[in-house]
Amino acid sequence: MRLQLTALLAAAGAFSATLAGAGVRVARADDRVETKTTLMLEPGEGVEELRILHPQLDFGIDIGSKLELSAGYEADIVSGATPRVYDVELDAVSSATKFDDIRHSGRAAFAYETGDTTLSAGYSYGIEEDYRSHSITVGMVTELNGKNTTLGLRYGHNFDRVCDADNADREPLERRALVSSGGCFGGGGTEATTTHSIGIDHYQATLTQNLSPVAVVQFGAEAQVIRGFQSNPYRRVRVYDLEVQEVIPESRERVAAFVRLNYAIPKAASALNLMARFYADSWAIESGMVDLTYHQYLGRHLLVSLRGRIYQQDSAVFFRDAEDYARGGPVGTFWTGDRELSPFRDYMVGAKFALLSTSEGDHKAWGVFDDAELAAKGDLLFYDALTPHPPNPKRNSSLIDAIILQLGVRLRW
Amino acid sequence: MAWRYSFKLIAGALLLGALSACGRYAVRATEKEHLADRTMQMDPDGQEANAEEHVLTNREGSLGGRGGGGGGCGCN
Repeated sequence: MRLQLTALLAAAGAFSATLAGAGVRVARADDRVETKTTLMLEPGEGVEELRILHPQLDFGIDIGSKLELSAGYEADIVSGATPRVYDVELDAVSSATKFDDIRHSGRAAFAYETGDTTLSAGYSYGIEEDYRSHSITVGMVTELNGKNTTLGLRYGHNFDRVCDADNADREPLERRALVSSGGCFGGGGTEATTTHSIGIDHYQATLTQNLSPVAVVQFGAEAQVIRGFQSNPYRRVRVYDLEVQEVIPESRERVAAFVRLNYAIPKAASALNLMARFYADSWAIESGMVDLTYHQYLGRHLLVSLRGRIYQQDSAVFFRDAEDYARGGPVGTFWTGDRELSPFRDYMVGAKFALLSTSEGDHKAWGVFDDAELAAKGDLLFYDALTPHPPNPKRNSSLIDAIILQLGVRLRW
Repeated sequence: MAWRYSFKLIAGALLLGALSACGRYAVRATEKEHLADRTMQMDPDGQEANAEEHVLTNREGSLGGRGGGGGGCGCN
């Protein structure tokens, strides 16, 4: 069964991940290896818990003093149940479909430093039963004004393909949803399938400015243009008395702007990170987000970080409450049961504990490394639907809507 | 709606405060001890940010905001 969560996520994630391990900021000085494993649990009322295990492994090496090469791997191992139909009575056990899937993704990148500028480029490839993704990313970072101002530019493009039921020339209200990924990409299943292309362009610009010895600010803007099939091929929506495949526009333009302020409090061995972001897209979704993190050093080797985040969004212009689709039908020729396109607010609170060790003179961290870090992190997510019959109601009825746990190790030498 | 004005107020205050200072102060290399700390970097842990983006992109209909293109230190 398809990993719905990785369809466009592959697009957004690939842009960040491709150069995440590379020195997209400024070429790093050490060889390194780092790994993290993230577990996300979404409990549900009367539906099977959704579990996503996300391991990551990255390493980088320096070739001389100017060039850094890096490579990485990550996977999503997903199991759980997903609602089969977006309806007023959605998500009852009988209408949920169990699924398991694995997505694999590999990437490689390089960063080359020339003067005060670092150039980088990367490629990633992702594969799952019903989705293929090729992504290229290029970036540039340059430092100005005595290295007090940093300008960063990035561009990425995805060449993706997604599997779908072969609906030939059926009208939207006659389209049937994909049942299984077994027949995708020549998999040999009995279901007739086809594939659609998705092209994604992603742009980012950031400007970072040191304000004082204890304050730094960053402004950023991002844009994304998506062309191609963006529906969930498995999802059905009850429109009047019909259960038809989800249909959403094949074109989307998205923009976001953000500002971040980091402020150190040396006397308290602590720091504050504040971020605000606005987002709007051509589907009329607007959202705002504020994120605050407080870091506190406890001694020389323990860093504790506490964090709170609030996010709210409007719905897409073609989104309707489940009851409205069933009784009044859609407006226009689009209908969706996607939670991402509904109006809601969510809150996140979390804590992270990092054990840090740095070499001093001949005394290496953990006996071998220049730097070593062992970190554990936990976040809780709370969700408030802002419509009476939202998508995934059983999934969002628990006190805590998602639990995210993470364990990681970083080593440099 | 009220939530939009709240978000805009916070971001506007941040933006104005920061813009008023941009380019006016040149922090000397010897004053960058605190800026070099990991807690002052805009994207100190690429894997952590990547994993979070992974989770939230699946739940929220927006994108962006991840820091990049420079930390606070500028002392590499």
